[in-house]
Amino acid sequence: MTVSAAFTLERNAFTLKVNLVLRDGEVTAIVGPNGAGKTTLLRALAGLESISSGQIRLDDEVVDDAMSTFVQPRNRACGYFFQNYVLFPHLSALENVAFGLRSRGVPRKEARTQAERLLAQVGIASLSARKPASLSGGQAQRVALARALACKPSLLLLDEPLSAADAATKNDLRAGLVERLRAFDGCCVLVTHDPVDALLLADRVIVLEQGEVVQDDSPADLAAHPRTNYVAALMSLNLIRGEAAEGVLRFGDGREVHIADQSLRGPAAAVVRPEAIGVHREQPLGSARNVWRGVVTLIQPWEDRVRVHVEAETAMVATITTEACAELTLEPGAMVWMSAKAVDIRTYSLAPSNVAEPL
Amino acid sequence: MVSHSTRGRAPWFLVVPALLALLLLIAPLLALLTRAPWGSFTEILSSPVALDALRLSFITASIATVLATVLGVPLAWLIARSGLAGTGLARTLVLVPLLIPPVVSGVALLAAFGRRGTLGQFLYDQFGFQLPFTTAGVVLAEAFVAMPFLVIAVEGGFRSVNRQYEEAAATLGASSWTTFRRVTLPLIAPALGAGMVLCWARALGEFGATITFAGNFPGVTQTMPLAVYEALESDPSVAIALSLMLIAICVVVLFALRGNLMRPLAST
Repeated sequence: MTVSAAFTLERNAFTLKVNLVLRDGEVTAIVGPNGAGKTTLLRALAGLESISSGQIRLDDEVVDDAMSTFVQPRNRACGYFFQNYVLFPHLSALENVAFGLRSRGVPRKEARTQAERLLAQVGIASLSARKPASLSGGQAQRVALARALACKPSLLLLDEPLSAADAATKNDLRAGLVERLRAFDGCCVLVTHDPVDALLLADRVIVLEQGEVVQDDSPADLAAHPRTNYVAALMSLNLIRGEAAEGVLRFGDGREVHIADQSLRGPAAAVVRPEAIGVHREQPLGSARNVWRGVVTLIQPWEDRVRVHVEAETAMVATITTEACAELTLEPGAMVWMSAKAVDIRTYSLAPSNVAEPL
Repeated sequence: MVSHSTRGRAPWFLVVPALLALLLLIAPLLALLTRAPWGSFTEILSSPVALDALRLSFITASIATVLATVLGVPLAWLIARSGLAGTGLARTLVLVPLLIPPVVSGVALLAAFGRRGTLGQFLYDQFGFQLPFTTAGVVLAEAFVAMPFLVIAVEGGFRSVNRQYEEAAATLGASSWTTFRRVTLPLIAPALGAGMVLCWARALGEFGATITFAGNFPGVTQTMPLAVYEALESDPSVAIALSLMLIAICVVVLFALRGNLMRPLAST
């Protein structure tokens, strides 16, 4: 199924504005901070919210036109996975999975057989008689997934399919989800706040911020070329956006970063890995061309090292060893110098591509 | 030592009135037990008048409960969910029969459904059908007085059901009727059960509206409370025996409510 969604949706003070085409066989991840409109987008596609202007088409059928048409959720070929599963508490796992089939007129016996097969596919055939209250989080997730897939939807909408799982079961569930999505040949949209999920599960990542699409890229491009601070933070990178010319990236009011690429011009971004940033108590006199002075705002353990957040000309994060941190006697409020070599700064153009520029 | 002796002890100005309140509530019931004609108990209860009243009470209270359920559940839904203008007013109106004296309810029913009543005259002229002083009239009076209990309980049930269950059913292709029947109704079952039991118990005990609107004819409109009232004038020991019977039924209802019925199902 090809989904064409070009609409705005207004709720209270919030506006969601998208213009997307989602193709068959493609898994699209929607990422973004809380309140960005990710779930609202899914709900609009499923028909659980109506749009304020524009149109949503599933293949050639207009399912929502702000002016005229609205196709009820039950008549859209969508499977919807709710973030908190929303399994019917009074029905067994099997009856939950069979519910959609029964609603769509499949005879009882046939629906049970199909539901049993679906539960077997997600690896919990033995739990079919259990009520949701007696299932673990991971088991409930599998039942919810089987239920969403039961009617062979052309459009599968997954709202945070892995978020409610604890760390121990998450890898298992993710592997199970990858397998199910590989077998699924329709169009799939999944909302996640976890960049790892987006990168592992999706062919395409759409970043929503404050109701607008700020980036729409393959996972690899997203990781390499973040366009906003939110995406950069997801990828654990420092991002500086500005105007590039003759080996200098100018940003803010009169600040600049020296970059290696002399030919880069126009709107551009510079990213620096936190590991490539040096932290000093005295002004460094080395070969690093970029030196910033700032105040430490936060120090946190990071794997076997320490992350130092500094409010300098822009907010920066540096990763240093625990020993270095102790030697520098760093603490929140301390004045520090940070340095980065031009060769450690990766740059790319932010000239308008297929995405509407934010700001 | 003071801290030991006073610790956890309730102050006298609360304990004394509390015990008096308990006495006020329990003493009449205990008095009934001591005055009961235990020797002739089964004889009284198996007399034709008592059996007729008991049978009529069960039948009318049950039909009134069914009527209140069939009409009251949709009304509760309307108040809880529809979002229509005027539902706040409707909710207040539902409470009116709870608060007005039952005898006033009976007068109001007569004004509406009496032979010369606003609706009653029409019913009689068109169909030759009248409600006052009939068993159907008893059912109507009981439903009028008892339905608010059901509506209030079920409305609370509707409000506490997570709407996402209904959304999930919709995305699974269920029509609004299937969603209501297979999802919403099972989820409000505890509230509905509690509402039906309360409604039935209230209908069973109905006196004022029934005697005003339907009269007191043995076998036709004389329910248990009416039989108690009549017996009091002729033979108080019969009245006491019938009263104990009604109390026993109420105690059973109370225990039913404390058990499974009140336990919420959809708490997950």
